[in-house]
Amino acid sequence: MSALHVEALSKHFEIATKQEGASLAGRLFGRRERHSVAAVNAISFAIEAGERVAFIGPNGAGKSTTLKMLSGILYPSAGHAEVAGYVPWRERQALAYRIGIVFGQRSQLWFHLPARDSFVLLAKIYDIPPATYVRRLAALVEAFRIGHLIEQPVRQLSLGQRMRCEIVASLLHGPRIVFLDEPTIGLDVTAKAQLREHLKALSRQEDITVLLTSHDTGDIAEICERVIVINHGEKLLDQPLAELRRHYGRQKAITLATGEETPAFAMAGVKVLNSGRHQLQLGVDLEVASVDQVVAAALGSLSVQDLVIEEARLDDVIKQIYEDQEREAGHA
Amino acid sequence: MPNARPGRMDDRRRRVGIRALFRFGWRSALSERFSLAVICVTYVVLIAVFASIFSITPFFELEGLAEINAASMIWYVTVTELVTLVVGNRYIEVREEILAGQVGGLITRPLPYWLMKMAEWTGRSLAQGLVLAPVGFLAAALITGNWPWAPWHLAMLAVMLAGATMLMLMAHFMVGLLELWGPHARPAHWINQKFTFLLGGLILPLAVYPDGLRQFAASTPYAAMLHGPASLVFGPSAAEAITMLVPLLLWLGVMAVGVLWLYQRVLDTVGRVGDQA
Repeated sequence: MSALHVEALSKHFEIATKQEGASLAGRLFGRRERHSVAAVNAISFAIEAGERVAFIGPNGAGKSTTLKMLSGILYPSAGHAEVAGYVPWRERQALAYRIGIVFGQRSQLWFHLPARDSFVLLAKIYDIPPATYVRRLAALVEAFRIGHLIEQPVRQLSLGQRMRCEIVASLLHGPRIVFLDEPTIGLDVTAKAQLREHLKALSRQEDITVLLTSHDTGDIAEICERVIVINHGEKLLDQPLAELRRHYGRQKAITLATGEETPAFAMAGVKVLNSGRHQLQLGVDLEVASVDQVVAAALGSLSVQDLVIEEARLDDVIKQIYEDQEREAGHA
Repeated sequence: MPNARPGRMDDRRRRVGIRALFRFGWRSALSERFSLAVICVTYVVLIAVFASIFSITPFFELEGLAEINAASMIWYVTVTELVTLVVGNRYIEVREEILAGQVGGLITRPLPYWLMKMAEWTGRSLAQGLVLAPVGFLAAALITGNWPWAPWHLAMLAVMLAGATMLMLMAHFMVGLLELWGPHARPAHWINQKFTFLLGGLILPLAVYPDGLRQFAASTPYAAMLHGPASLVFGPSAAEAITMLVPLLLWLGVMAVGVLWLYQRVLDTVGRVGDQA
């Protein structure tokens, strides 16, 4: 049975616009024009228990709106969803025991209290039996290495420390499904790596379903095994991460360090991804040109001092997906 | 599959959460010792200032109001100020949570947001009340040199103070929620505060108001918040005291319906447009 089942889910927001240039009376008493904006448009997908899925898209794609519908905050305009067997917007409070939510920009901890006191309070609110709470808190404190932090008031913690406490708070009641909205936003490289590692390990150990939105492809690559891409509220793609890499892996990246200060290179099937002083990064479409051909051409036309050949980065893969969709939309 | 179909919250789980939040509010109030000390000092200063004013006020000129004199008036404001100091500006918490976009997260907890807030506020207010009341009553007793409370009056006062505080807390909760629809909470609080002052009889009992204004004030919830419990100081009979409970109970019911209605509007609005105020 699916942990999460979404069927033709839509959310339209009504936007009121002011009449530009109208008189003061017109602006005060005139009718505002209203129009409907589709934030999410008939998306469908299912996620099995224990899956870790990245839900990605550019800003305004509808990711957070979908997450808010699935956690019961927003009502959909149409469609249906079941999360852990509950309809989120109708059975919000019963669902609360089954899900954990982390919105990176917001806190569920009491800022003036030490994190431990927030955990105690949440344990009562979620009615966690004392023995279970003690055992679970010990495991989470160990996993997220927050033992030295939990006696400090939350307001004194750094962002990375607070985020680890936030995630512990969201996992304390043993949710079966966790929604993570930008969980690593604002964290430094080390804190991100630790958080990803702990989340992945915990999800594996406890068979927790994870639905994660992030603009950081590192989160996706390190935590998730499947990717759902949305843009303009519509689902573009739903694939295992490995398949996505294979499918879009027809690209390779070649980075050249050159003797020329402003190197230039042109060839069929080759796109300049980045250029700088004595540096050039090329994207090679393997269906048009091979790496050998490009390297040979580059060595022939440039004074190459160093050369690195890489798999296409997930960032570039995702960028390409968006570009393909924009191009298709342009042709349509 | 879920263990139990939702729709009706498990009562036992709900009680555990409510008790925890009540205790949290209670402990928070008692742990903020400096703030509590400042409120106590302010309370005593207010009583002393009113005592000074009332000492030169010619209450004897009020015809047919023999029970109103400087001493009874000092006790009267001791009670009204107790309620207002205990409640404070609670609405700000709700307003800030709305402005911070926290309400979306708070409504996804197992307990309804309104219930969590009221449980915490009740614990906090009770703790503050139990600290402030002895301080204020001691100050009033020392200044007036009398103790107007029969034991059953005190019992009745405790009941009415609890009801009046709940009534005022509910008003604050509703005022705070208004911020969801725009910058309305502060002006609404200002209006609410002025009406509490004027129609609630914060410093003068409604008995001294002109007839029309007295009847109007008595028909509002503000009279039940302050004048109701404070007028016990004038020594009503048991029958009169019980009659004074009626508007309080009535307004508690009306206000509870109002809170639930407004909270449902909040859920609808957040569900429709999101939780960013």
